[in-house]
Amino acid sequence: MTDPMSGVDTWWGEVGNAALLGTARRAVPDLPDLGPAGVRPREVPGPREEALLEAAALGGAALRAGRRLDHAAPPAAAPDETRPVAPRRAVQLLELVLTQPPAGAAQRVGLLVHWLRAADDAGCRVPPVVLPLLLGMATASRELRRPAAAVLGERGRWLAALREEWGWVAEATAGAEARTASRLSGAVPAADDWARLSSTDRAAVLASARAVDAADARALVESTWSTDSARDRRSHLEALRVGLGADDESLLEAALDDRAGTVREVAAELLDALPGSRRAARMAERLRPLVHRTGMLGRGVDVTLPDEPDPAAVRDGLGKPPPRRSARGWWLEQLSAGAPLEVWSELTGADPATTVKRLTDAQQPDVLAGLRRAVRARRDPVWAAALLERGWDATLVPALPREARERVALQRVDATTDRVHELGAVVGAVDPPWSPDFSVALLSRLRASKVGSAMVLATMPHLLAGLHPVSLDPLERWVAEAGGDQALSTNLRNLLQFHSVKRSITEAFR
Amino acid sequence: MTRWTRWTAAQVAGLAPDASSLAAARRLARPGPWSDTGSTDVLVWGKCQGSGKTPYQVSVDLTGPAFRCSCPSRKFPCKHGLALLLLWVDGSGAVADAAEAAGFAQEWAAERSARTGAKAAGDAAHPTRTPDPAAAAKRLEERLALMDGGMDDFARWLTDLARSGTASARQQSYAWWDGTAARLVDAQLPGLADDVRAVGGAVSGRPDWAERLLVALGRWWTATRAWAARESLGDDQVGDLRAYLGWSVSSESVRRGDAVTDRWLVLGAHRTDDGRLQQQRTWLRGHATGETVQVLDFAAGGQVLPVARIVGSSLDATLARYPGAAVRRALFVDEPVVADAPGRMPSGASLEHARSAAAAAWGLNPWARRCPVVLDEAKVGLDRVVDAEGASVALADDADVWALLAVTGGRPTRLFGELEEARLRPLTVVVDGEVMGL
Repeated sequence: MTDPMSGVDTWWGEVGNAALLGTARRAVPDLPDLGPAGVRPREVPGPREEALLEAAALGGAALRAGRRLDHAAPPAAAPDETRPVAPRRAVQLLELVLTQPPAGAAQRVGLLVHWLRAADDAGCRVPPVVLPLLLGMATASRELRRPAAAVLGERGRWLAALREEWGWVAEATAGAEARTASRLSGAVPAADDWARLSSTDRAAVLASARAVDAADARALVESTWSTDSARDRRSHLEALRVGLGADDESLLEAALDDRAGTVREVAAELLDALPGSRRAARMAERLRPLVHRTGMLGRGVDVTLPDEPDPAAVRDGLGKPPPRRSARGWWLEQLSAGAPLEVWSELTGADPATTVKRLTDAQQPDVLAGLRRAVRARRDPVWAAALLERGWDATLVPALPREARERVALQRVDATTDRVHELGAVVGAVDPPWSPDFSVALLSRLRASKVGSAMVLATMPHLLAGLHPVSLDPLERWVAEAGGDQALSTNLRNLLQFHSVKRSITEAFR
Repeated sequence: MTRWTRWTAAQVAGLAPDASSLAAARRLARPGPWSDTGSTDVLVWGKCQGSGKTPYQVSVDLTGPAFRCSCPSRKFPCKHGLALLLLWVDGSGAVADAAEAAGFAQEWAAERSARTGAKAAGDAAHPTRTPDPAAAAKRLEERLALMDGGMDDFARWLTDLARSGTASARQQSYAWWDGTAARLVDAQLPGLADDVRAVGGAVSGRPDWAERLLVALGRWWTATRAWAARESLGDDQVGDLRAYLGWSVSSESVRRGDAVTDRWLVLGAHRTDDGRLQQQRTWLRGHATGETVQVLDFAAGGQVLPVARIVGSSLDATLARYPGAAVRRALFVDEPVVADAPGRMPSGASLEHARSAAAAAWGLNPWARRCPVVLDEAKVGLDRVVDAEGASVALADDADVWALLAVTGGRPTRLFGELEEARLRPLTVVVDGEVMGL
């Protein structure tokens, strides 16, 4: 026996066999030389069973105390970080939101997105200790993925690469980096880099590049235009909505001749927003012969339907109507949406408000539908106000200046109190964040209403997104007095918590 | 006053009015339905959730013994009273020692003594009465006789098993293991019974069952031999054996014994919950003595574990150690004071060094299940920890590997953990000078 240890192994194996079969059928092997342990066999051997149990005791102790350690290559370590960890106060808030969400679990994602964006804007990352929890939540809620990917840090990306469920991080990171780079440095990527990006990332890069430098961003679109798929061409045109201006006209004009109908459609729609374009002038030319003043004093208006369009008019968007629409009515709508709004004042000799009134009296739904589209696309506040006076349309509200926007919304809230289900759309027409005045005024109306509880419920998502921090005080007072109505108290408390935490998060990154 | 002389299960059985009451009480004698339990020297109390909305309030005055229960049963004592006593005698910590009786029990004890005019009125609620030493000695004798019988019975069971072989033992249903464990509980050996249940439960499912069972047989046999030879063992060795067998030492007697005042660093903590009993282990290291001890807290039923100590903090405290040779258990003699200065994690060693330290501890106390170790330059991987020398040890199954990887990033880290058989359960890491519990 050269290696005493191999003797022990053989002995332990035999002890195991004897144990399996039982000492009634199998003898117990003699003790091997246990060397320095100094264990000697009994002078007078005991019964076989006891010998087996003693051998088991000895072997167990030897196994436990004498086990040799395995050797293994150390795992690869995470790369060094490039961003600092978020400030201490912000980290505390993140931990709070992750582990004991204030305002209820349902609002957790909203608060997390706010935190993650604020951290990214501040150029920070999350502390490593929250990574498993954050990655787990972002795996479950997709809307967290991109904001989370931007602030995971090197550690987070390294960790995510070790676990299959977290595989989404690699993809989300590539997009997040390109966008962060273009937003933080204000740089638009080089054409070569642009050409190599995936479609999803291009859309994201284009959106931020467009906000930085509209012309450079358009140049990117043009650099790959001839080789891009119809789907990409369409999505790139959509991205031009941001910062759309007269300089974009030639690209859009050329796109009216595109092979793909979907691209032509978007190009025409975008040109609706450019009243100074050649297409708008052509539409005005087509519209002029159709509009006539009526009555002794010319205070009425009559619009006749257009005839079959020529190829040039078809190119400008007077094509096949949508299902269940009369073709000529559709063409009139297209003309009204594409021509400059000034044409109407010119043709009726009246200001926008009067023109809209006359068109309404003359029952011109196609013209009014077209006008609404033109107003939405051009965000024309005067015409928006004129149209809103004739009837509520939430989609026109964004065209108004903020003050007017909030005023008409409040008026509408006063008029809709008995139709609580419509209230969400009314309040939602005012984009967040809301002004202090509007926030407070809206709250006081909700509070004064007999159906305040239902109103809060109906407008909850907008209240969460829109309320200004000054409304925390009135909210707090309302919570204190809401008392009996359990559902209302819960909603108000959640609202209050949500906004105070949100405000704290913003402040923690200052 | 020696409170570890709790009654025996047989004594409780002797109080039962009939066999069916006793059988019903045995079924109830588990922590599940019980809440607000406790005991002093003279009173045992608890609330038992029955089929109704309000739990029954059960109190037993041990001096009578006298029973009271809010249940409508006409049997006396009822199954609730008996079950409470059975739970109390099994010593698993489900009925903990308390300084003061619960309100309902205290009131009853006061009423009772007022009615009988007994002089022990106020004493019922406060354990200040001197117990009868002769009675205590008699109870101890009875307990030892019961344990002797149980150990003899268990040794016979072991030799029978050795003779017929582990392969045939594996064919046995779980009820066979459970029956053996139940006899051990009746013989006041609940710790050993738990071990038998755990091994019996693992035998059918695990691929490495044969070696596990063989090693367990060796462990159990060592326990029977050590028990038979207990007269020749030192106090520390008996202390470790008692802890393994589940013969609890009363906290009163520990408190009076081996106390050490020091500044203690909270090295790490771990909580477990097997659905029946919650346990919290807190590892502490003395600044002056360099000794590492564990403080154990238990909670069963509706009880709540005490708040965990902050890992990395320092506590000025007097700790009394339980009798034992290695991996000592201790308890706080009084409420510790948190020191202003945070402690520094002591420097550690290589895995090889930690392994031999653990082997030395197991040499002193073969019953110790785990050893505390501090490692330096440990790198955490997906399933193992590797030290600077390339030696590696597998992570325990319940280790939170993602949290470990997140905070260490695979970089060399000082790490505190428990070495259990051939696996390591990291409890604390030091990252950038910050001590973090896991």
